[in-house]
Amino acid sequence: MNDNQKILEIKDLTLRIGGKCIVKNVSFKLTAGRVMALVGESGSGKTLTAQSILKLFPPRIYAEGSITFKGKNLFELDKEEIRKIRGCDISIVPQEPATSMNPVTRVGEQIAEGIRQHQERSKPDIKQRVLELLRMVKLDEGTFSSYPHELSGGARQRVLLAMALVLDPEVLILDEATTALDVSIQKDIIELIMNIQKERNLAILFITHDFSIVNLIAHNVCVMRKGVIVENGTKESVLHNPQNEYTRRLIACVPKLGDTRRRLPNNIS
Amino acid sequence: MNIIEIKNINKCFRKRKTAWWLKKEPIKAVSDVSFSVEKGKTFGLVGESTCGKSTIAKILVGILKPDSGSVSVKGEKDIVFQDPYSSLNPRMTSREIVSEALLVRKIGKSEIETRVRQIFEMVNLNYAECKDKYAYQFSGGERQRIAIARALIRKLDVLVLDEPVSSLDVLVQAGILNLLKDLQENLNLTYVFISHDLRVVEFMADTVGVMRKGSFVEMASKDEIYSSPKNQYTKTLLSAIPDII
Ligand SMILES: Nc1ncnc2c1ncn2[C@@H]1O[C@H](COP(=O)(O)OP(=O)(O)O)[C@@H](O)[C@H]1O
Ligand SMILES: Nc1ncnc2c1ncn2[C@@H]1O[C@H](COP(=O)(O)OP(=O)(O)O)[C@@H](O)[C@H]1O
Ligand SMILES: [Mg+2]
Ligand SMILES: [Mg+2]
Repeated sequence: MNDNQKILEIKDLTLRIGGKCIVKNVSFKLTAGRVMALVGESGSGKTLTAQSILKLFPPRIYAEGSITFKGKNLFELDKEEIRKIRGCDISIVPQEPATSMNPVTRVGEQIAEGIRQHQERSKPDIKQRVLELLRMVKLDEGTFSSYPHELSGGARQRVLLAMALVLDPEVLILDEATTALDVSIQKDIIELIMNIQKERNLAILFITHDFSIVNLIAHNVCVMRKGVIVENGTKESVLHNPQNEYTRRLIACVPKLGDTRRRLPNNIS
Repeated sequence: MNIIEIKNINKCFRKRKTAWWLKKEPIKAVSDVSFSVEKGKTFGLVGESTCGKSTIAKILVGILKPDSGSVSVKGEKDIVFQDPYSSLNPRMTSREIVSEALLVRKIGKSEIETRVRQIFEMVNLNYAECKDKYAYQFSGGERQRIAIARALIRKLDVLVLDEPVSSLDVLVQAGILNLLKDLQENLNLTYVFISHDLRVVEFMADTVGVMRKGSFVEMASKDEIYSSPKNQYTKTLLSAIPDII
């Protein structure tokens, strides 16, 4: 990895709730034009790590370490400064899509809202931009006036992607973006993300628990277990030559087509 | 011997109105579906969201009635749903949830205790640690184990599993799939196993029905479906599976 291309660096991130340490000394870098996968079973601390980047973690959490974005330590910024960065420079598609979409607002309005919060632009100008985004995520213009519940799971995920990209950020964080989707449409969504990523030279943090998705999307991988990064490296090295026992389990527990195993490995001593 | 036999079932729903000027159009959720399952075997039902899988599951256990067609399921049956969060009563402890089905029978307290303890062990939950906890205090995988335990406390013949692992992470999924295989072997259970993931269905099933828009497009032995699929839609679904290596 070319070090001077890194745009976001997480260094020694440690998160505590009460006296309990739930994320410990996590460090990694995001680079323009690259996808970093953060992989681990549920409860391993992936979401909290992602939320930390924009100080979105719950209030009771005590954080240490640094998050450097273009030379600035985000932990030292106040709420207003973080608000300016959120969406404009760094965007996050949260794990719980239900909480990030308003059920009674039309899709087009929801995408437009992101623009209005940051920029003064005329109505037709905003509409133009929203339609452009719908095209980018391969939804037809009619989606503008749909309500979220009228859309399929895949289309909703595309809308969330459009909402995240509306201000042209440099860093995109996707927390389990394909987990709730049918397998048959996961590939389409990943392809879309990859295309947009290449076009815009985005740095992406892609969170998942599924190594078959890692294989589709990642350049680099961090494997997280119980709040600690247990292995990191290029996708090729981690997938084909995993060094850590936990990584090997995560890879082996995914059933494959043509699998002849009677049991899947699931527990680790 | 076929323990499940359903013939030519149909089911329509009236579409919920999304705007007052729209007519309530009927949705054909299931059209002319037939299949049978032998005792001790697993029938895999696979297809994309809204193709009608859950409707068939509910018809099998009697939660829904088909508009036409015949349904025969011999013996005791139960269902495990996808969402372990909403399927467990939040005001009951796991012990109460699992033992509820025994209370209506004339079984002594100590015998209930023994049975519940056994079932907890069977699904690999520590009885002493879990018995007094409420649903929200468990992880997704643990909740699914409780839902399976609740079904198994009655001596079951047929278990319908409606996307039992779709909301779990891959490690927890592997644990539940292993558990289901062991239980089937030990208790000679018959499964209808539903999933949108062809890999998981291949791992579990003996016979597979591929569903699209309410009907089967292909039904055959697992080997045929996976080695020489005949239907174009089956092929498309197979080609969309991400390879791990
Ligand atoms: N608001 C919170 N209060 C207390 N514990 C929390 C909170 N949010 C998350 N946790 C705990 O922190 C750990 C990591 O959670 P999370 O980052 O959501 O994991 P992942 O995204 O990998 O599933 C879990 O054990 C979870 O129970
Ligand atoms: N209670 C209901 N009322 C109206 N429509 C329903 C109801 N249940 C299911 N449907 C519709 O029937 C179709 C099949 O649904 P379902 O059996 O849940 O599919 P799957 O389980 O394959 O996702 C869908 O279009 C769904 O919206
Ligand atoms: Mg998470
Ligand atoms: Mg369903």
